[in-house]
Amino acid sequence: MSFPAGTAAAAGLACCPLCGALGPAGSPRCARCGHRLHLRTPRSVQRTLALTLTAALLLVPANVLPIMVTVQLGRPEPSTILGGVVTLLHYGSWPIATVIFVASVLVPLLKISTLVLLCASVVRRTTAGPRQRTLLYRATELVGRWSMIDVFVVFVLVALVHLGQLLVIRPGPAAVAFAGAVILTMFAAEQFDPRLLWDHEEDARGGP
Amino acid sequence: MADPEAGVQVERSRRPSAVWLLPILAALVGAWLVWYAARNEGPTITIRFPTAEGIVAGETRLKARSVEVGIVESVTLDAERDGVVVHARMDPETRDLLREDTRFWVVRPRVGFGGVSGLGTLLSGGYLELAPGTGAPGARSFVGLDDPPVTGPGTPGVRVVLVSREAGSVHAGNPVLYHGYEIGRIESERFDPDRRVMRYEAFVEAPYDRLVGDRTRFWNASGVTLRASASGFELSAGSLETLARGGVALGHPEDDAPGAAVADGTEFTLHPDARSAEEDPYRRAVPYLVRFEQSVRGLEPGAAVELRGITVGRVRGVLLDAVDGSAFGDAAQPIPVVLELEPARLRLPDDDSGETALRQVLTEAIGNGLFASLQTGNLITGQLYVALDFDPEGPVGRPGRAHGFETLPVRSTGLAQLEKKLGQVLDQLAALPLEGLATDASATLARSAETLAALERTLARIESTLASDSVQALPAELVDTLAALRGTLETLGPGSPVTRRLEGTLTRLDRSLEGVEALSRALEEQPSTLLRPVRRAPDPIPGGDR
Repeated sequence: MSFPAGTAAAAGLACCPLCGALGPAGSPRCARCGHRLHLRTPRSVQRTLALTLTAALLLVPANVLPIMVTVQLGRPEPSTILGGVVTLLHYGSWPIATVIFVASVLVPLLKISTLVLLCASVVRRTTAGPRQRTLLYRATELVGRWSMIDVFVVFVLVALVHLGQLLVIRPGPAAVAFAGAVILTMFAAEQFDPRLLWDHEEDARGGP
Repeated sequence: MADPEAGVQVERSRRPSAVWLLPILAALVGAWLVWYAARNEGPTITIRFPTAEGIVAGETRLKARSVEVGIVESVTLDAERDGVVVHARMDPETRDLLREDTRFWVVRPRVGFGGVSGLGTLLSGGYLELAPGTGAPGARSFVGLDDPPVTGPGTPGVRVVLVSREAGSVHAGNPVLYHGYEIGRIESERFDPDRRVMRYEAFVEAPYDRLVGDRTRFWNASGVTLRASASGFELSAGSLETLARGGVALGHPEDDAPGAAVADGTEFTLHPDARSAEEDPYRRAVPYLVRFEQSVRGLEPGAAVELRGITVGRVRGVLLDAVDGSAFGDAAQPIPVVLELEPARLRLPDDDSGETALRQVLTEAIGNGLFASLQTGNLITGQLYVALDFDPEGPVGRPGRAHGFETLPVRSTGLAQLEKKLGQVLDQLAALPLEGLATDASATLARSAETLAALERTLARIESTLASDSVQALPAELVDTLAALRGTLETLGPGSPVTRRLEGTLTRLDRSLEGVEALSRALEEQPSTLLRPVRRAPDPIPGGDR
């Protein structure tokens, strides 16, 4: 694979991903900070896909199992994420229901599908819309941490609501799965090297 | 691999990254979890209930001794629409709890005299309680109970059936008491429409089950009983607990042995109170029919039958079936009453041989003048009892049979006899000729009035006579006469010349009489003196010569 003229890679230089210093592409480590130096993150697509797949797998128990168990007068009442959304809608608090639905259901799914889409575009050497795809990637990276809001809510409630026999809230097994899924998608987004998105486009433009 | 001179070459690695282990691991763990859950999924069971009250699909739990063993998955109406079918998913380790006789019931808040239960379900909602059975395992379809069972299956003890004519205050869950100590419980109550009796199932736990024998008597220990019987008034009450909760007591006649052990399901009579249980301490009774030609008012079922004051049986009741409705016009229509004579009361064996012996004894007794009569036991309440007695003058009647019973001769006695005699007296009174008497009396009275008038006239005449002057002068004349009489008497008083003379005369007369007396004595001794002179012997001198 060759790099189009005018790029750092073509000049045999690689940029340190941590401190931004340019160094010779062949050297294994950054001369300034000692970080690993690569032209492109190695096995970026594979890693991203693997992590995304794991996250997707974790999303299944996260949505099927109860995320929170409300023990009211000794009577446990488990609730799933979607069940909670439905309950909130029943009570008419649709803004909160929307927030939870977006943050806990829509965003993880969109993230996973976006990452899969990006990886697929890299593998298939798609050239169309590199700017949009980059935008998509940036959005994915940005929004990732906000998915943790659900987990955050659950753990705040667990810590706060401890009224003995009267009312106790316990985290459900889905909370761990959901947190794992969110963390894994964040890692996956991290692992993805956005430079791959435009490599082929520049290949195509620069020509052989 | 990168060669700065030849331009940087990006190696496109085809070697799979180690990071793929992560999704594989996740998938494996997930798959294992699914497999594990599927493998350990407990059995699904169905329980039929008359109503799904308090049962919520997905929420209601199944518990055994408050340990959760399953959850209700769905509740549906059954095919006949007369009940519900509860589908429940059991925990896998509870498989061997599901046996043929495993029982299920809904735990709801229950407040009763027996205590408060299921209070926790007030807020948390009901749950299904499971009592594991002892039968064959593998059952998956059950019929739920309406009420919690009182005793679990497999509890050692004896289960008997108590039959009562009245529902009374005995309910499922009430204690079974022996001398006031709880030894068991009433498990269920049911009305038998065929026999028209209440049937209670009572369970007596081991080791007290040996107190239940074929001679055991059960009675209702609850409530207050005021009895007016032929022996007077009697007020009895159980303990405060049984008063409030109800209960059944058991005991034995004369406190002796309970008798032979009984099998499960043996039937006993539940007596309304301790008295009637005592009065019915024997199993065997020979029925006899007596026909009273008097009112049986005051003769209650259970009244005593006494032979010269000793209870030998009781009254079963009036045999109304035997009363011929068309014969009520007949004044002599007797009232048939069935008596039960108990052989054991006469110290005869309490079995078939005793019955035979009692019949023989009675046949013989009838020949000796035995008869039955109604007697008043309590004058205030008018309670009657049946007395058996002998007529010293010989047989009153002959043994017979009527309406399928042997009969006893009857004689009207007691109040009825008194009544009859009173009636006779009244009849005689009525037969008296009172009218004639009254007429005579009035005639007499009229004559009396006339007599009185005559008397009155006579009196008036007497009065006028008394008022005349001659009568008025009478007292003055009387005074004069009396004064003259006094003067006359004074002339005759002592010292008066008449008296002195009289005295002198009397003295002389006295002397003359003495001379006459001496003469008469001399004449008496020697009548000859009248003719010749008397020669007297010299007077003897005492102590002259010795």
